[in-house]
Amino acid sequence: MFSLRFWKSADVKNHLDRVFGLRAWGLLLYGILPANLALIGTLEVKLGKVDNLLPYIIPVSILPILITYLLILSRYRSWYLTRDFLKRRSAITTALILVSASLISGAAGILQGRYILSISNFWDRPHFMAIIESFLFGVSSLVITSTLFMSLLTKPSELPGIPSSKFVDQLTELRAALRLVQTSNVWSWATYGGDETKISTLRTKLTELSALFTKLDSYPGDKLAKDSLKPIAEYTRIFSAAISELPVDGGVKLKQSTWKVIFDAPGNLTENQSLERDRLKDVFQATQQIQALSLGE
Amino acid sequence: MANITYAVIALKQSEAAIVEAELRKQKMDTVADWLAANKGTLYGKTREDWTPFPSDVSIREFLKSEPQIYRSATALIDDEIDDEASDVTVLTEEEIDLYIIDIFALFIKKFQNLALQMDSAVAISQSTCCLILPYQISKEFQQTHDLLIASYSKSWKAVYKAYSQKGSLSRVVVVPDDLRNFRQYLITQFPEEGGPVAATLKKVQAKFLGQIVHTEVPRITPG
Repeated sequence: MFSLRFWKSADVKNHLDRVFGLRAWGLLLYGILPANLALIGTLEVKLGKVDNLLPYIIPVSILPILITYLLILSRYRSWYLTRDFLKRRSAITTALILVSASLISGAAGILQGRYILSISNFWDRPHFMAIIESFLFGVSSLVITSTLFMSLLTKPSELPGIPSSKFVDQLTELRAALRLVQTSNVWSWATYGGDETKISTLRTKLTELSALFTKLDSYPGDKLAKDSLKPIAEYTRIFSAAISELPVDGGVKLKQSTWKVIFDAPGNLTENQSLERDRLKDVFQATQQIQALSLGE
Repeated sequence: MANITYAVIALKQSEAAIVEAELRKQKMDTVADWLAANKGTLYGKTREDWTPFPSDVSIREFLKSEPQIYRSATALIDDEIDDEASDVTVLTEEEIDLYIIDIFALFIKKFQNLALQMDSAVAISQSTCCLILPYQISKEFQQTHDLLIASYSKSWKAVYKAYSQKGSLSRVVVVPDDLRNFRQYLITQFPEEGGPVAATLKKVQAKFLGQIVHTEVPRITPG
């Protein structure tokens, strides 16, 4: 009845997705897009004019980076079920956009003859100034990037390379349902106490959750995002099976005994309950995983 | 579908040696030898690890179904009942539908006390007891039984399949008590003509079906 399946190869992909935001690769593309203006010469930064202001410009340049980071963070929050790696992922994406934009600017400078690349004198002042110029260009392109993000990505949109709005809506629904599971009375005997009325909503919610996972899985596209939900769907399935083990009627003692095996801390179990816990360790693990899901406010 | 709550009254591996000694004390050496030879495969750490018949599945596996109808209350036997079985109210409050009893568990003091306390209550309640007496205890009996049942299942293929796989009522009687029990069981399924239950049934049948389906215990008449 209870079993846990692991997706070994999917685990690696899932981890890379959570750290680098692979499911939303389009974000990187749209982030770098304004930097291409340098290639056609529309946008240019001439550092020679503001050389003396460098100590002030560099700290000020943090602002567009911060705004872009916050916009990306807000998008990732709704594109991923949990908050795991959210800040790290947003920082990595922002850094990748900034580095790519700076590289494009530098390359445009070389192509247009503004810079001459010399590997042997790479660390001299002109090279350093060229790098600063390219970096500042990257930052200035972020101003356009953040405007683009504000107009396009803060609203539900159907753009290639980012999760579809329908999928995101369903993910939001799933998150809300899982939050209800996490705040259910069943987690503590003090709040549950064997009273069926206290967990009847949870039973209904778990049935809805199962349907939601099926619906999300059948949705076309967004494969990486769907794959990342599989372990959580499995934990939820095991958790639902565990909840169905709690008797609906009958005396409190049997309910308490069953509850203890599924939920209680190992130190509070009798010898027999510990043996049952050993048998149902997958169930206990699944309940712990569900409780530990970082779903945010 | 409603759940069937059950409790398993069986030995744990740690208790098998006690029963073996008790059997020898009561001069049942052949049975004790059989238990000694099979206790490793028959019993496990918990009562539901009990494998009623050697080389078969545990009682937990036996009671698995999809959806899961059987719900275990065996934990109460260990956690709520002391060795004297001084307070068994928890078992009556839970309204356990089925007690599955390992014949060897009857040689343990706790279960003897439990039987004394629960006997009358179970007899008059809706609870059912299922005593499991593995026929492999005697090699001769096992061989004879297997041969005769093989003949039966060959002649009454569909009936035997319905009995063994689909829960159809086709009882195998081994001792006279089985036959008496079956006789009385059938009587409870077909209430007496004119009795209060039968009268209500008649009204319901008349209302919904328009005719009476059963009027008496079915009898086998010579052809």
